[in-house]
Amino acid sequence: MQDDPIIAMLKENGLSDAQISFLVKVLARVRSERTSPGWDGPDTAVKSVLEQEVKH
Amino acid sequence: MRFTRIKFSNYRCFLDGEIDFTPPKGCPKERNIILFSAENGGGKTQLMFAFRFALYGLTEEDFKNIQGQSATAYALNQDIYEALASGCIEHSADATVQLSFVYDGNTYTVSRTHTYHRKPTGVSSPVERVLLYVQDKMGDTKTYTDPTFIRARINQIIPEKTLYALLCDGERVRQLSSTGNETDNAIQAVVQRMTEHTLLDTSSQGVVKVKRMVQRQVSKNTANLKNGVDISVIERFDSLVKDREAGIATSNVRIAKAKARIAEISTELKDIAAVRDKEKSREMQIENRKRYEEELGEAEKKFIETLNDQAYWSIGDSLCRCVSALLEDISVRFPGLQSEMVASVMKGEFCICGRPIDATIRKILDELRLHLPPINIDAELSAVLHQYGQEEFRANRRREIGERIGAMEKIKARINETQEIIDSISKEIEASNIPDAARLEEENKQCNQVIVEETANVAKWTEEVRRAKEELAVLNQRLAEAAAHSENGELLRKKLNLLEGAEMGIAFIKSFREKSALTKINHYLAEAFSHLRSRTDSSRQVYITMFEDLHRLVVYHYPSAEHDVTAMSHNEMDEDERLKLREAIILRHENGNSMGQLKMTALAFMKAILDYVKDVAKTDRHLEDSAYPIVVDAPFGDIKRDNFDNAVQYLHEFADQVILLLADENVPEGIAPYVAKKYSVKRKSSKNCPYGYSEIFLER
Repeated sequence: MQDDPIIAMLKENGLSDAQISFLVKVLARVRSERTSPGWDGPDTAVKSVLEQEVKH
Repeated sequence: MRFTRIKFSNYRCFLDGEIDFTPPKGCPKERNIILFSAENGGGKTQLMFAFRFALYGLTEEDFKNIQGQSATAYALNQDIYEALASGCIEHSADATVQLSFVYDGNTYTVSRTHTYHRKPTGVSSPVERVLLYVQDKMGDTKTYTDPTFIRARINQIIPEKTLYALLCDGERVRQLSSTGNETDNAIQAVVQRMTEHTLLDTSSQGVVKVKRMVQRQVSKNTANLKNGVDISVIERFDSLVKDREAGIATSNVRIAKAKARIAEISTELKDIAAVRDKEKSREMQIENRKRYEEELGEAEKKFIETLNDQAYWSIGDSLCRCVSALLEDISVRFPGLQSEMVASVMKGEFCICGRPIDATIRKILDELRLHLPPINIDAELSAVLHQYGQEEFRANRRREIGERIGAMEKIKARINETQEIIDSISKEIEASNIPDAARLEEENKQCNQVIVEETANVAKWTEEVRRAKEELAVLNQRLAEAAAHSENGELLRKKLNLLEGAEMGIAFIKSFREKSALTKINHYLAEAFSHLRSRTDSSRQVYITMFEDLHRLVVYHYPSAEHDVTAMSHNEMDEDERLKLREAIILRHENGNSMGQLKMTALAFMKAILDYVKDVAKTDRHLEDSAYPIVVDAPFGDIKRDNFDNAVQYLHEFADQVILLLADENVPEGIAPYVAKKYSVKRKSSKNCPYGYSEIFLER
């Protein structure tokens, strides 16, 4: 998600940088994986991104 | 996206046919129209809906809706269907449409077949088979046969509702002007596609699911602690909020529909009042005509009297001439001799000349007497001549006659004019489709009742949602605090924080993008409408509502609305308030539409969607090649002349590929410079096809 106005809007609405970064990654992962055959739903993608984020 | 080819086999009126949409080699870019010219009933509408059939299929109901209730409700050519039913064709017959298009460098071919089987009682319902071939840039082809996957894949390229918006025919025009679901669907389809609505919804589902899992983990870990939170309570409140918000959304839609219907009813009632006014006006004109006819009767009567009088005068003229001539003649031959003198001589025995008056002389004298004037004829004739000789008097009477004739002509003209007015009003009254006023009043009452009830529901549920969210906020806070004290507390707290942020963020993005999208679409819509309308129609503009629960296209009086917007805006307003104010003012200045204006609105809407899609594709890589083609059926009928010329000049700018279907007699000259290819569609019939079929010819 490259839209700067959207990131600015999210910050204005109180989201932290960490939350915004997580959200961007979730959307990117879901977007790229959902057309793959054998995709089993968005929660797998969300969990995967979440585990990576909290490790850092 | 660009269509490249469509092939038919036994589909509707097309037996076998193939159309190549690619322009000829060396064709300049501005020649981007593929033109289909057909006689009425030639198959234009069938061709348009073949795109829909290929991409998404059509049901029996769809066929009936497209062509009317008397149309056949199957994909198979009618002659073949009848042959199958009667047994001339054994076993089965297929109807197939194969559509090819390029998208994102790949070539897609979707082939949809309906197979009909012969039964003892007739023909079966169709069995559908769909195939998707995808050839990538390297030339490798994959084949897909799962209908669910194919549908989802096509929906990613061109969503079904977007396709409907880009296939423009009379039905589309009517739908886009309606206040019902269809306009809202068409607008939502584009906005949701362009704002990645599906992606956001899917991601949100994933986030909520994972959040719930983490909350359960926290709840489990803290079950024995004093400040533990029962996750089922959170889930109950969440469910309540979701349920009530859905109810509020449904109620708001019902309220919007009821309000829209009330506005329509108000217009229809005004129509009824207008017709009643016309009837009164007609009565008044009939009274006027009666009065003029009476006036004419009087004038004719007087004229005849005058004329009769004048008839005497005209006889007098010729009498005068005869008598004058006679007098002259007698005066010359027997100057001073009168008939009484000869009668007096005849009484005696001898004539003036001295001869005795015998029978012969008596006869001569008698004849002479008859030709002589009496003593007093001069006086009488003088009087008559005096009277008849009054040239001026005669001229006055002639003028009077002329005036009477002139006055009668004027009355007759007034009678004719009045009759024309009466006829014109009668035609207008006949053409008015007056609904039943009593039924409308009842419907109005019901709509108001719906508004009252649903508004009460919305108020109640809004309060419930508010209280539930307050509780949830408290519970989630407690959960987060509990998480901190639980096993892996810090980790869980961090996870919850990220997930809650993501959930909120997705909701913000949806709202922000939708508003941005609609603002941009409105900008393109105004631009497109300005190009299409003529200078004489410059007081109107078009707008898509953003804040109503059902989006709709509104035509409004532009100068008045802008004046009010300027007067009522102030610097302290934020962007949202400004947009809401503008919309409220626009709705106050809403205008009604003729069919020609509805078509202009529909064309402008299509152009706006296409421009918006191109705009978004410039900045969003994953939407590259989202420029869509359009298929337009008979766009120029009903559009008035000034707007017509603009529409013709502007149509080729709508999209990179414009497929245009026109009746033979409606092909405007102005379109020729933009046509890359022209096909003719001709109806034919043969021994094997008595119902007829359509052949497609490429014109050289």
